[in-house]
Amino acid sequence: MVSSFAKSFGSVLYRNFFKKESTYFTTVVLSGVAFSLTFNTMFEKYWNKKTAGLKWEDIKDRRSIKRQEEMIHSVFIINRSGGLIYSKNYNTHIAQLSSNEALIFAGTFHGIHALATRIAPGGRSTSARDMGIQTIDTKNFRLHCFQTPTGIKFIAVTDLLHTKLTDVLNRIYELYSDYALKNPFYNLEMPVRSDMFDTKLLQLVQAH
Amino acid sequence: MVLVYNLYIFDRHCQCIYYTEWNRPVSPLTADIASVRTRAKEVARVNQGRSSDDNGAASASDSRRPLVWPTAPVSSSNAKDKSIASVQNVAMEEEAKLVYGVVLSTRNIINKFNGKDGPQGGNPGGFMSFATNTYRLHYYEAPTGVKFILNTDTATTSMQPVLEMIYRNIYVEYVVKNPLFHIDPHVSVPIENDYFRAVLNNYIREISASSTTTA
Repeated sequence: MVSSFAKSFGSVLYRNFFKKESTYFTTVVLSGVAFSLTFNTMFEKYWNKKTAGLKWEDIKDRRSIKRQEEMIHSVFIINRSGGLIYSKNYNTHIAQLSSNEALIFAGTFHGIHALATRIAPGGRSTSARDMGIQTIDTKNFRLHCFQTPTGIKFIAVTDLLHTKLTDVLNRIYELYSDYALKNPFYNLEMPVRSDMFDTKLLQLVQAH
Repeated sequence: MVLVYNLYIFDRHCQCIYYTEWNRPVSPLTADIASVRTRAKEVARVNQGRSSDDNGAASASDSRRPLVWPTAPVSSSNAKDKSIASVQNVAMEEEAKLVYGVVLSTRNIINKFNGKDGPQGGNPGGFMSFATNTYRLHYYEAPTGVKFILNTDTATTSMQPVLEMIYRNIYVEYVVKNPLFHIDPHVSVPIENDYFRAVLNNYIREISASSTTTA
């Protein structure tokens, strides 16, 4: 019974698929294609399920957000008498100050910078002299200040990941001396208007 | 290891209602007390009646307890009450005003940066602290407008939980819940609660001793 069935099945197979070369070839090709298609779809489904949430498409956005967070939001330069001589905002993470507000900010900061030395708990006559505010920490951003020996203050508002910005502020000071102070048409204590300074500063800010 | 210098508490009327200090080398308070002591010594020398033992004992007991200011109502918004400003430590009063001014200006410019400069004030910008090269000033504002200002060394980065703890578990428990608490909203009264002082002092000593509390 079994052998006769096998025989008849074999003959059917033979007559329909193997007898003619063209049918045989077509069968092989079609079944190959069908197998590869099903295997691919099945495996892809399995792979997607296994690596859910780990692939580039999923984490791409998160990485770009992180990169956006690691940046300098804005830069201010305040002259010796508390006037704002340069201000630039690089993104919208913090509110854009109007020019009037920026001037108020400069004046206020100049004041609190000076007063912070007077309320130092160590006293004013101790060996470690207080040099004024260096950083202000808030919930959303951190403000760094660097005062040069000549009294010009360089201020950068950054995200919370930048803990120490001394190098960058020193570089801004260098740029300021190179592209603003060395300009023969620049008046001391007056606003900085130099395209070269703008572009160099932008490069510096984008690198950090 | 946290080195805590001093703590100011301001009420809604911009008045310093409590000040105390722990590791401060020079301060208006000690300066004032020192001048009082020298004056007392001079008086004693002039009188020639008593030895200086009493002075020595007094100073020893003072050094164990932290200095506190104000010890009596300094002033209030009512003009007629200004007569009760019995203890006049002008240097201390001016320092408190300076601290308040600096902190309020800083808070306001930070609110501007956040675009949340509401008329009601408050601390929507989330001003937490500022640091100079010698100290770090920590700021916490309670929803009711009571402001806590703590000065520590520069290495201490976040004292927000500590200040919130002082507000929630010490100020509210020992000052606000006190049945004798002055509820009149127009008058600012300094904190004269010995329990508050003791608990606060213990808490700050605890923080100063342990290194992990604020980490």
